[in-house]
Amino acid sequence: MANRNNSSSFDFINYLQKYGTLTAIIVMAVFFTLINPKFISINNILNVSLQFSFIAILAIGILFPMITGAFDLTGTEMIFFISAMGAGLIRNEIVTTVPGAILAMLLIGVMVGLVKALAVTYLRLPSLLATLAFGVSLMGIGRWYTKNRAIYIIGKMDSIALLAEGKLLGIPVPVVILFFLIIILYFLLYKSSFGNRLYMMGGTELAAEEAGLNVKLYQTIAFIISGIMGAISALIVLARIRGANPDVGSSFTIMTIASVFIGMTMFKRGEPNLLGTVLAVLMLSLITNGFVMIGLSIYIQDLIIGGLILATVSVSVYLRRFKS
Amino acid sequence: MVATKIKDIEKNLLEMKNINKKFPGVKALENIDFIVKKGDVHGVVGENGAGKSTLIKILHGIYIADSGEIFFNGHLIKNHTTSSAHDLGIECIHQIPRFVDYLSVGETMFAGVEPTRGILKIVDWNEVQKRTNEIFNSLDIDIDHTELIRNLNVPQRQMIAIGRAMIRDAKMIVFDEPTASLSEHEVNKLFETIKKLKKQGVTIIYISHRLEEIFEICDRVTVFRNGKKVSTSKPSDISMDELVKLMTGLEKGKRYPEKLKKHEKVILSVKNLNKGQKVKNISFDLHSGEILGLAGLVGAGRTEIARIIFGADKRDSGEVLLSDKAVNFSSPYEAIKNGVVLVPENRGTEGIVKKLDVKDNIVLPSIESFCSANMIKAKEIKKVSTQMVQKLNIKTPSIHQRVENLSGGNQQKVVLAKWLVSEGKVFLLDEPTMGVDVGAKVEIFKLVNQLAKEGRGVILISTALEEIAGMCDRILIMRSGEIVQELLGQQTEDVEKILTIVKGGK
Repeated sequence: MANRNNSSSFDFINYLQKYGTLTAIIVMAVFFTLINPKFISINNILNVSLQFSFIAILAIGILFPMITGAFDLTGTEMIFFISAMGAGLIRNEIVTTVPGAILAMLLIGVMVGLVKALAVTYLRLPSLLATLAFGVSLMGIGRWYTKNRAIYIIGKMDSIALLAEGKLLGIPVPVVILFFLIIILYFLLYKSSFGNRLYMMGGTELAAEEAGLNVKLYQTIAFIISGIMGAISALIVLARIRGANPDVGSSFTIMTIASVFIGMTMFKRGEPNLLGTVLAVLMLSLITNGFVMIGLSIYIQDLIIGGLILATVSVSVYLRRFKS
Repeated sequence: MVATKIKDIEKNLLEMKNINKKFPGVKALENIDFIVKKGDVHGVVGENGAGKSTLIKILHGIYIADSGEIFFNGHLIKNHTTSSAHDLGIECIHQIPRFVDYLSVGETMFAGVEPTRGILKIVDWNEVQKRTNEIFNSLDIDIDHTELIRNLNVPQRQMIAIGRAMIRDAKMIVFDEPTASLSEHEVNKLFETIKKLKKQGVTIIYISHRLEEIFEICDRVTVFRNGKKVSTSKPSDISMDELVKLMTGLEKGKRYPEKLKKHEKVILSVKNLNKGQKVKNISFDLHSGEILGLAGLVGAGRTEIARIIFGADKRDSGEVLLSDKAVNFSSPYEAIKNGVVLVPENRGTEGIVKKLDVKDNIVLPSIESFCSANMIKAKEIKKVSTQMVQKLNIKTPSIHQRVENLSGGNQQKVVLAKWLVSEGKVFLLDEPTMGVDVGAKVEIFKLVNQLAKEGRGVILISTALEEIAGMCDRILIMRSGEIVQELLGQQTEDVEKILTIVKGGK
């Protein structure tokens, strides 16, 4: 151990492992700008930042169950389901004020998290399958409710658009929300005793039980946080498209999960972590946007995201193997 | 009257009274009275399945007893659960403590009892560092609190578990076979720590299969057999042989079957076998019906020879002959096809498939002989495996039980059973009794003798010289890759002599 630290030579593998994603982000940004200078135009940055923000919020929510060792495969599904329910409430004037809409959607998010938690902790279903199946059900309810069409709230609550398009000191509101959430969650995960206990869940269930911790309780809280983040994310999407759309994007689920995994390869010690996840989302968002900017069809996005995730994960896995 | 009674209760930290526990088909514990005095190191011994772990799990709140009472520090404990065990200060150190790999020592030890500041419950990492250092200093442990769990070995992980127990102000620490995966040096270090814990007033329950350890550190020892408590005594009042007798109910002479004498036909010969520094010019013959012992220290080259014969490792030079025919197996598959079988040291990873049931494990290597037209003959498999379970006295509810649910000794019997079914001619047994209790050992030995009686050849590798001496018709003693001496007849029973030669004497 000590010897490795003493070596003064540049450790390429270590560098790649720690800063690979950051380096990739910068290289990609330069590359796209060289091909299409519009890549760094204000318009495009705003465009990227919006997509980046709501996916990042979704991802840092999914991060919580992942820290406790459970999967949560309901990214896209949460966004569509919660935004569809929200749009329904607003259209039918069940909620008429913006704070009312926010509160209602957050509550739906909590419920969604609670159901997942019950399935995983109390019914002891494997989280991979349980959340996947639950996601499909959410999608089903949403499609049934919207008759599989986009539904709009235009004319009912126009001020909610501020959540997506407003600016605070020149910064888009979704970005402000994201930063605000990052600060709160960072504190929760890395400064509070709650965070330490949550990480203790990440080994075998026995590890946490031997430490005398209530596994069910912490895992339930983790899923509820994921639900709340899903709701915030859905709010931004709802505000952006003024409604809900079943074709909102199929790749959010895989993007969020992959970001948590890619994030694990950055920083510290290989655990699911907050900043790594956010940076990974940033990288994936920049690259998908960049490929569109240099003229690739938008329909090829899924292929790019899939390939990219495979590439990044395999690079990091092989780096780790090579190192050990 | 009342005063003395209170005093009595004070002296006993733990009293478990009239504990009963049934599992489907098994009475795991029957009317157990188990008392541990405050400040003692209390040993608990018994064969696999004697009820030790069930009792400890009840104490730890993992199982709930069917009937009986638990008093801790004089108080009756009601609705005992794992969390009330924690609250009472009962901690358990497992053989291999389970942690989360990417967390640090400090984070791990304080998870659940973090020192915090303010209403926001911010973890005070300086305090964590301070208290970790205090506890580690008092136990002479040298581990940094920022070190990651990933970088720690088993004994260090045990120290972390001990440290964590101390942070939680443990009154009683249960060690569950802590030395099973430790080296001799590490065991000594652990014993020093246990003695320090004792000095600090912690009461200890110590479970082990290694009886010599009980004599070394325990103040009292309780023996369990078949779900019943047999006795509690001071180790100084009994001998090792008496202790073994209490555990097994068997007299000493009965622990090894009688040796077989006559051997004529050479079944396997090894000629001038070489491999690096581990195997140097090894030649010997194995006769049909013979049990040949390979004695020596760990690393003397015994396992290497077995692996070469079996085709699992390549040889540099030399020959292996089976019934006078040069075979020189280049893969275990070839060896098994020709009736040469290795029962490896590490049954967990090499010997059995834990997730398969008893019958499937038993027929695994000989599945081809249970097929006709590529269809498996299920009835035949059931018949044969049921016979095996009866013949070897494998303790399992049924042949459909997953092997992982059996006790260690019974798992080992399954390993042997599967090679009995396959029609092996030569058996290479590498530490067949590792991690197996005394009673199961006796049955395994009987089985090995049975193999020899049927005219098969057995090579027995064991670090327990007493086993070698008790079992083998002929013994080859190895030192650093060479056979230094061959013992025959009466000589094979002289453990002292074998030990001297193994260690380098004449």
